[in-house]
Amino acid sequence: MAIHQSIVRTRNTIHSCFDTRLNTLITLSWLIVLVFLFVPMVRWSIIDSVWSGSITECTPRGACWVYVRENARHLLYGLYPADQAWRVDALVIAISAQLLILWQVRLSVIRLAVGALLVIGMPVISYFISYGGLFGLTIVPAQYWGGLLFNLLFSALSISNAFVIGLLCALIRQKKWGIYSGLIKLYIDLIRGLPLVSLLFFATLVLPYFFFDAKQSVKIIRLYWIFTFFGAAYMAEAIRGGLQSITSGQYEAAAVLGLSEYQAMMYIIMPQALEIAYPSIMNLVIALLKDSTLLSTVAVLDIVGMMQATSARVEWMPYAVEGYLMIGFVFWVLCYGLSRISDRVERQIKVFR
Amino acid sequence: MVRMRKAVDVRHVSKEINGVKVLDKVSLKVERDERVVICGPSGSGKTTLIRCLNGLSTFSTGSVTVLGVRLTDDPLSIRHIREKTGMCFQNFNLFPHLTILENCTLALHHVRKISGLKAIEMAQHYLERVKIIDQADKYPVTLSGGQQQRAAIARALCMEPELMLFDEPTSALDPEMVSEVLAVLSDIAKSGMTMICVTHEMRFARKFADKIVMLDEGKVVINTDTQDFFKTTDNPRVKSFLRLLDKR
Ligand SMILES: Nc1ncnc2c1ncn2[C@@H]1O[C@H](COP(=O)(O)OP(=O)(O)OP(=O)(O)O)[C@@H](O)[C@H]1O
Ligand SMILES: [Mg+2]
Repeated sequence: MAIHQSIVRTRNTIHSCFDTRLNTLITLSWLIVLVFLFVPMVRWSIIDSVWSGSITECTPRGACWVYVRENARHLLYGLYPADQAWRVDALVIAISAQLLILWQVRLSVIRLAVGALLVIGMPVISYFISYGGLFGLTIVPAQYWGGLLFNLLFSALSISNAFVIGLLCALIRQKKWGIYSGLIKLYIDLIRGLPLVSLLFFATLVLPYFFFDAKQSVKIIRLYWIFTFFGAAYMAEAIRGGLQSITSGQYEAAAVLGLSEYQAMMYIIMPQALEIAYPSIMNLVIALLKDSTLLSTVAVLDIVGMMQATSARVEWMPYAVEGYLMIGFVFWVLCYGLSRISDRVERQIKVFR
Repeated sequence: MVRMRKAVDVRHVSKEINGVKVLDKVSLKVERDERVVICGPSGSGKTTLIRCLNGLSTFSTGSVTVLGVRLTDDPLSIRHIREKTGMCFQNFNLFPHLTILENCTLALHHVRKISGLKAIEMAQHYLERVKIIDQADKYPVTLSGGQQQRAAIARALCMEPELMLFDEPTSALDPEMVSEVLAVLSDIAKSGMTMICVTHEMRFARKFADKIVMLDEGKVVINTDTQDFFKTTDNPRVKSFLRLLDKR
């Protein structure tokens, strides 16, 4: 049945592409554009490309994916020593597991505990495990951190932190706590008026004049908090949008049942506000994940920084294009995956709305 | 413990909003197990009055005592009153992210600290009583207005209140659903419960109420037994009000 229907639908679609003279013309022009664009691209990236073997087999006619293969370790781990890479793996697994629990487990006690661990504990734990010096771990200074896994760890932790800070900011603004609401509004407006890149340069170049020193390890911490507070400002606005769409009737219904203000927030208002804000929050998560590549502009060897570093070596110089394409593809897969997940959750939410 | 005679004792309550007297020296006494209907034209302060009884609205002068507790600025007094008072709203205000059953058990868990199976049994008992036990696992949006209001009544009853407040429980409903909600109200009334109900359904009020209070421009214009209310058709205000309702 379903197959039959889809055949009919396909036939109808094809038919509608050629049903009038104008439509035929439009369809043909599209086909010509596609052929001119895609054929050379497919030819270059797949048919004429070199996937294995050594760099000497690469030709200017096709892509040299050998570059990606040969540099895969660096693109994943940065300059992190190979015999210590398990530390990064362990962190990736631990944080993924925590995110999975937060996503799938319904029991609020467990979610609260894991959430607190992720937001308060993991940034510190991750820093010390990456840096070492404790429990006999060798010290790996932050200049050696990098690669795709750095992007993922950095943005997962930073976004989780930003979510919680944004939540608090949204609540304080909603509550109208006098001066605090005003200060938070000022902070949000300030952050939203500044490009992320300028904030990153501020964290790298300006902040060391006032606090801390210019050591790379401390620089990562400064960047982490700037990145987090950047995300938090947007999170706060997204969540506030959700909060504002809850009618006073919900607060009143909670109040007359005897729920305390905290309980009403926790069990009635917040769950609904977050469901409403969910699409904007996911939007932000995807944007921030991509923005983590901006760290390369302040000399962090994240995946983009690492790719630029590897392709700066003489033998790899012609293959920077392959590097950028690979990064584009990786991020597209990550973001597409995230948006599929968010679509699924959104549909579940619609069921009872 | 001395059994308190009055369920509700409102004395000379006034409230002004922007210089307009929304409530003007309103006094009202409700005995235990008494059913009172509050009626009156739109904007006469019915909602404001009923919300003053459980602290949802504030008032400027006068005193309100509910179930022996004097309502003050002290949040504790408001909490004591809300513990023993249930309220249903015109537009139901069910929690849309929870099923009907969860709507009922939420406050049992978190306010009355009744856990698990016991809470579910209690919720089921009251859902059965308002005849929507078969909808227990659905979400509010999938229910009709009448079903939603009955669910809201069950949610309030779960807290086993001594006093129930209703603010126009049927006026957001299509006509064919009004009677099912009114039937539930009559059923609760039979089991003995102090009830105060704002409504325009005067045919229902005639059977249901022991006492009818009529407000106009923030003042109590009539406060009598139900029989007397319908007899005093010589009162021009009542006459015009009833005529207005008949026309609808
Ligand atoms: N928050 C408010 N701000 C300003 N005016 C208000 C507010 N709440 C109520 N009022 C005014 O108080 C008066 C009484 O309102 P109330 O809602 O109590 O009337 P009501 O008798 O319940 O009317 P209805 O039958 O339409 O529900 C109205 O004139 C209304 O405009
Ligand atoms: Mg009203």
